[in-house]
Amino acid sequence: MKTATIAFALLLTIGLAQLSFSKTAVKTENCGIVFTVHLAFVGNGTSDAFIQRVKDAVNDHWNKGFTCGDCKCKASVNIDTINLRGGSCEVVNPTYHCVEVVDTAGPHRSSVYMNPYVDGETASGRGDFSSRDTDKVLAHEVGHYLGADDEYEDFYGYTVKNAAGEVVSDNWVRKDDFTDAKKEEIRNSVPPGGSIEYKRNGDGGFEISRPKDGVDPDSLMASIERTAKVLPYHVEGLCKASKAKCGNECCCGNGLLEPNKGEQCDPKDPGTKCIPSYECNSFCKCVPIRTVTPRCGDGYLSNPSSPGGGNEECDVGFGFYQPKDAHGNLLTSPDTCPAPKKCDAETCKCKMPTHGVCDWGHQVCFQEDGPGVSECTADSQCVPPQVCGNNVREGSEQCDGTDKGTCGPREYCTSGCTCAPIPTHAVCDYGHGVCTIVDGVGTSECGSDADCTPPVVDCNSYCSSIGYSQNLGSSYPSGDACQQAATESAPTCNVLCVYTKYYTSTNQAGTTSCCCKTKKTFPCYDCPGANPTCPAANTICPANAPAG
Amino acid sequence: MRGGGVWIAVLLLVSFILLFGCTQGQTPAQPQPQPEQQTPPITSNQTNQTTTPAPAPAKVIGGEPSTSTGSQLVDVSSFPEKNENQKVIKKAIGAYKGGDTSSFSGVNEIANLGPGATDDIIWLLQFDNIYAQWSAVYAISELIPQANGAQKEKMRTALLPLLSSRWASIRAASAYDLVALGEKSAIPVLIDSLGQTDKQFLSETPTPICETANEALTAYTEKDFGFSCSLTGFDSKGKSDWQGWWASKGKALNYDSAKKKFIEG
Repeated sequence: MKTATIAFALLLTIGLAQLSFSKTAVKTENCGIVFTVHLAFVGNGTSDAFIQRVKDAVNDHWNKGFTCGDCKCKASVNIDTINLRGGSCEVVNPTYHCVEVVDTAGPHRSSVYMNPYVDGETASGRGDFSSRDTDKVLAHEVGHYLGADDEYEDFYGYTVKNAAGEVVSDNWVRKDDFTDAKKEEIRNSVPPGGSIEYKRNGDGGFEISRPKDGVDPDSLMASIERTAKVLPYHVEGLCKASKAKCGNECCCGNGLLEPNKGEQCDPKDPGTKCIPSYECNSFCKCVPIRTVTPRCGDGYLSNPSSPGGGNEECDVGFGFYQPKDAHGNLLTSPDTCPAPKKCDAETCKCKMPTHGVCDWGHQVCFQEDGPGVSECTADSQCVPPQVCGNNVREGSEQCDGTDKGTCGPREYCTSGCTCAPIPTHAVCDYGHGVCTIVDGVGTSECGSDADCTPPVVDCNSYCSSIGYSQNLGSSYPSGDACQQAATESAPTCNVLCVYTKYYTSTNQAGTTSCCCKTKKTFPCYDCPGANPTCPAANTICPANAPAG
Repeated sequence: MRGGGVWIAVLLLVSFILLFGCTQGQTPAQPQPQPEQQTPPITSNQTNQTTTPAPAPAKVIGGEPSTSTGSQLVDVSSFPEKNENQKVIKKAIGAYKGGDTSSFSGVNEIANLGPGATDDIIWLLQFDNIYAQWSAVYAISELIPQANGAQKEKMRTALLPLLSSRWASIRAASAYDLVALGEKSAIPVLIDSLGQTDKQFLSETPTPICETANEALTAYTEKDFGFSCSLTGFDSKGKSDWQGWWASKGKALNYDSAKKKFIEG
């Protein structure tokens, strides 16, 4: 499924050279056109096996020897993938399309949403795949990444019957064309006394999906049935949309003389001949006939039956004997090796090609036998894109999530994938009166154990230092309680002044108090006697209070 | 010349009498309908006009499609949500618009609630709406691999009634989930669905229900009869192979939770 217009055509009109930072790129080389789709897989359904299934599905459907253009240049599709199972689309390298693979047990609806203008330059696709997707579904969805559109749509089907109940016509109308006017038109098409009956689908609705008008029902972009396949026009369409085409020289040898492509002859067209003593070469040019010598590199395939013998499997031209054109430019003959082998110009032998493959884990580019598009030519190209947060240390990351990397025992991995000292702060253990250092971010509440115990006060010293003779203790919660404890009954013929001082000292750990007491006695006159007189307590007591 | 003119006048008079006098005196073989006289003329504000009677409306058997598209297809106002999860689910369901396929993506928010929201997702099954039920079945498909035993049992119990849904897509999709949960009674429903060539509800690219059913059968049993089908037909031999297999081996099938398949014996 695709829900947005593809700007693929616009994207690829930039030129024929590879668009090095495109999510879907195209390049032409050696009369071949290669589309490369860069896919980054995320989601809990991602696995190496699933990614391999995607590659196989693409290979089985899109690489079936399709060609493009008048010159029938071979077109192929290559898939470049990254497994980011732990990541999300938000962390995917912007040169890759994102594919989220969901692990499902039952039905799923897979889709590719193309958002061509997301970065203003390249077509960006976001896919929603299931781990259970069939190969047909996978090949269909990758078709969207290549730029192919869906080729099905919803229709309404209806049967018109005459008054006798006989079917007059069986019709389909596109859902998008089903307007009120169309509905009226259909009603008006019914003969007098006749009827219309709309087809129902298995869910009781009217929409019935069918290939668009003119589309082959076996088109992979129209259905995912077992017989569905990529059709030549799909690939032709991709080439046209991308304006990818190979040069005129690629037409040489197709059996047709095409002067408009600069051909003087075609070696496979028996109808075209060069003038006497000239022959048609592999570039469709008439050149003087020359004696063939069995030399590797002369551009002529020499075998045991050739004049002079020879045992070449191929000869594309190389070194001293490589032929030149009239301007002295080196000429290269077509590679005649059976695919996938390629001609080794130096030895004139057909050899299996190799291609560069990245070992992302070791960040090494190695050559693997077999055809394929090289994903690297140097180790520096095999450095995985650095994704902070995927629990895998890459590039310059010191650590990443659960991968502690180079972090020391007293360090942690930051959200920026660097090691940093584990933060600490001091907290009081009031039960033990101890200041303790703990891990974590927080404000320290103590600098020493003293900050975690209530203040220590020597009440005896304190009381005496302020002129109070007694220390009643530290157990009184308030000044009133202290005063209450100091109360004494007055002696006969004396005025008793009782003085108390309640002192407190407080810190975060608690409060320490001192209850100090002293007393003074002032005698009364004429006591016992007829007119005993005592000093006024409210005057004499304050006047004689201790200074402290 | 004058006498000739009189004769011409007489001939014209006789011709007129013969032509119109005789015609009016005979009964017409086929009387001409005069609708204007049978139906009162319809007047407009501007001019007086006459019109022919509207033909009898064509008989439409079994209803006809609506021409409106893109409107909200599920009236969620009657969904009495009781918690935050159900609020999320209700919003996702209400956002669906048939003409806009991207509006379907709201169902992912339901699946993202995770297996802990099993009760709330099951809650959706009570509503008599194909999209609501499909969304629940769809979300459960994603949650089964993550669910614990108790959650799976709740899913299984809730899905069982859907095996007899009036919607073919719901029958097949719920049966797919149920075989994944080890429910053997879903197998004959899947086999029955092999004959259903209509499109699986909301499938893109359009997938016939029979294809979905075959996918489930081959995934959760050890059999593959090479069944194939399309939106226009199905492989009847393949279907009868499955039916024969079920008839002969069905009773002895047991679900192997390690293999995640029904095995014989």
